[in-house]
Amino acid sequence: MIEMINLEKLDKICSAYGISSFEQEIGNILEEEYKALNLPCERDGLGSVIASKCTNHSGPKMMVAAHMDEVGFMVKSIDDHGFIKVQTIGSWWSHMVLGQWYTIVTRDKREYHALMGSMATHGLPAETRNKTVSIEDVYLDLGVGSKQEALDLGIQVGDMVAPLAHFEVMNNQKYISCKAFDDRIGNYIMIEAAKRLEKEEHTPLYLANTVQEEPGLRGARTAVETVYPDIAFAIDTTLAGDTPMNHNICSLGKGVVLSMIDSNSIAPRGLVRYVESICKKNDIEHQYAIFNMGGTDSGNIHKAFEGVVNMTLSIPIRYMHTNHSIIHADDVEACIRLICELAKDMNEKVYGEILEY
Amino acid sequence: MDTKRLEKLCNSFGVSSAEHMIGRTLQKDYEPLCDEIKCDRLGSVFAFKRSKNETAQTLMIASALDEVGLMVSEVKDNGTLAFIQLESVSPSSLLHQRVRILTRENTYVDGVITTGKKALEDKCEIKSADDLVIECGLKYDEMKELLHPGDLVAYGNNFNENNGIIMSKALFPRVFNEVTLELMEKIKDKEFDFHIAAGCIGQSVIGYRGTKTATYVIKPDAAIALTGFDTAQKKVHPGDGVVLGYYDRQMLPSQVFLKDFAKEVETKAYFGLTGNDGSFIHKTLKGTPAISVGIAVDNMGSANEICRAEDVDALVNALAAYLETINSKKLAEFGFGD
Repeated sequence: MIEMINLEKLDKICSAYGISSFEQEIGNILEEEYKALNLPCERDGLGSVIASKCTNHSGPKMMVAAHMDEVGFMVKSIDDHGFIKVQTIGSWWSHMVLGQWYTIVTRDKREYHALMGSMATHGLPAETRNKTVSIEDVYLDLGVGSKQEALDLGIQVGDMVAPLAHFEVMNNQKYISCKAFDDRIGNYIMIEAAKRLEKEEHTPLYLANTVQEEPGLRGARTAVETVYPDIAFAIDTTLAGDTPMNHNICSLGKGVVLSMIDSNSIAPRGLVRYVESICKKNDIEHQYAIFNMGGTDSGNIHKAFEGVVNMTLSIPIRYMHTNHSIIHADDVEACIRLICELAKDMNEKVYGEILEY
Repeated sequence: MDTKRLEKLCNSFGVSSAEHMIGRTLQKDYEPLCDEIKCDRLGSVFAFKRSKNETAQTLMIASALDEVGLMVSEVKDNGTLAFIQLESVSPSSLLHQRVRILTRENTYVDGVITTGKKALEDKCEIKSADDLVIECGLKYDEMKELLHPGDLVAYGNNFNENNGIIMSKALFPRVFNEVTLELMEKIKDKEFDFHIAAGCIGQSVIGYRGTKTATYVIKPDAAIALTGFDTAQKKVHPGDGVVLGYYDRQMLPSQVFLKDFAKEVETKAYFGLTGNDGSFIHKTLKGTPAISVGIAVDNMGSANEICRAEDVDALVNALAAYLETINSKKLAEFGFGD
């Protein structure tokens, strides 16, 4: 049976507003999902949500981690006319923010839509047309008449600004677009894996929805400290190279990605061989990424304590760190299946063989 | 210096994250020289010489285990391999170097780094690793089952020794692995009132990852990081004996430890930028007084490094002699008390 993506659940998870250090709402949503599966949840000191299953079984402790935080901005200042200057949270290219809708969320959870303003396009001299605006110069247009109107809405310096949520299934229904697939697709995959493993008995499994990955893999440190796993997989997204503007070996629809390297970690050979064998045994489509320009939670997991056997599994994504990314349902399905098979197969003997490689 | 053993070490494959083969070789060599082998999960291997003193301090003497290397990023259909660099070696240093690729099946395929230009006709300017590919003399059909993205690549074996002058790939760190072995051999029958952990740190050169995990396992009270010091700009020269690091961008050495070592051992001072394992030993856990010590190495990080056997002997002898001048009390004084 081919499992379909639960579009309503994916929409709910991806559309929730939660930039780094503002993960309370998405954390609560995910905790509710795990409660519905009767899985206990604990939090680490920064707010990561860690669900656990089969913790009283024998076997190596396996942690799967996906970060809950999305990239966004913080309100830095409100000028005299009610225009808002912002601080980036996570990396952004200014080219991709001008003219886009954003949502400001106030302390008391009110949401306001604002447009990232841009200079008039008519009569631009050629040198200006050929450059991108500095990210320091972008501003949000609330569509209000004065600074006081902005303040009356309850907007304050420090408020969260996130891309306006717009979930859309594309013209081939396997292609889905929304904000924050990096890394809410990882959170979604872990819930679906937990659901499919509901009746299974397996090695102790910890599903960590980490905070603050984007500014520096911080929740990964605290989560791994809380769990102290023997083996860990980070689930994140990786750049697809199947568009007219980007070429690499990674494509939408070609399966779950075994990330061989990122900017902070290398997948250990023994673990790669083992994951490849599980994919082959269970006919799970997989592909590879060599991407040393960006980090994942593995960067801080693998070198914790005396070292953790750890690698990243990824979902190929187009337009990462923009308001609308695109992923492919088949890659998501392959990743869910792989997590389930890894959890079911893992035991002391298998773990020993990975260490001995 | 044991030239034959150094040759064997240099001619092993030990690129970051695939150090298991050389790690096992070193472990076998360490076993008869110590009381216990200590490992972490990133490939580090240490020989632990236990003291009978119940309140013994621990001195860590660490070399790196991994050599610089590359990773295959794509098997192109024109039969070449695109790659990324694991460390920031100047890409122009790579052109026309011999390489050895480790396949998924743990076999080797040899290749040469090329830029698709004719050396006899064109200017071969290399601005980045994107200008380079690996050519193995194979066609795509012969390669596609054999080589894969993610395969690791080392420089090709090229060890040569002549009159005590050694030229090889990977002298940094292999000559320092050899130093740990010779040091442990020299002190095998001696007893100290402090523990000694001498060994090699996995995934060090790529970014001091094993440095954290090895420090977590060893829990040193003081540490000596063994490293090469590049001779460019004639700061030091092969034949200068023991070199002592006074500054690098990643660590300010423990002043107390540094001054003590400089007092007991004849050393040449070195002020540089490149870090070493000291960078993460000294600031992991609660903090460890650390210094960096080594010898001059030409062309560090390239496929052809140079050092002198007499410097290796000087370093081994200096370290063995220094160990006789210290004890747990002194090691504790390098730190700031509990």
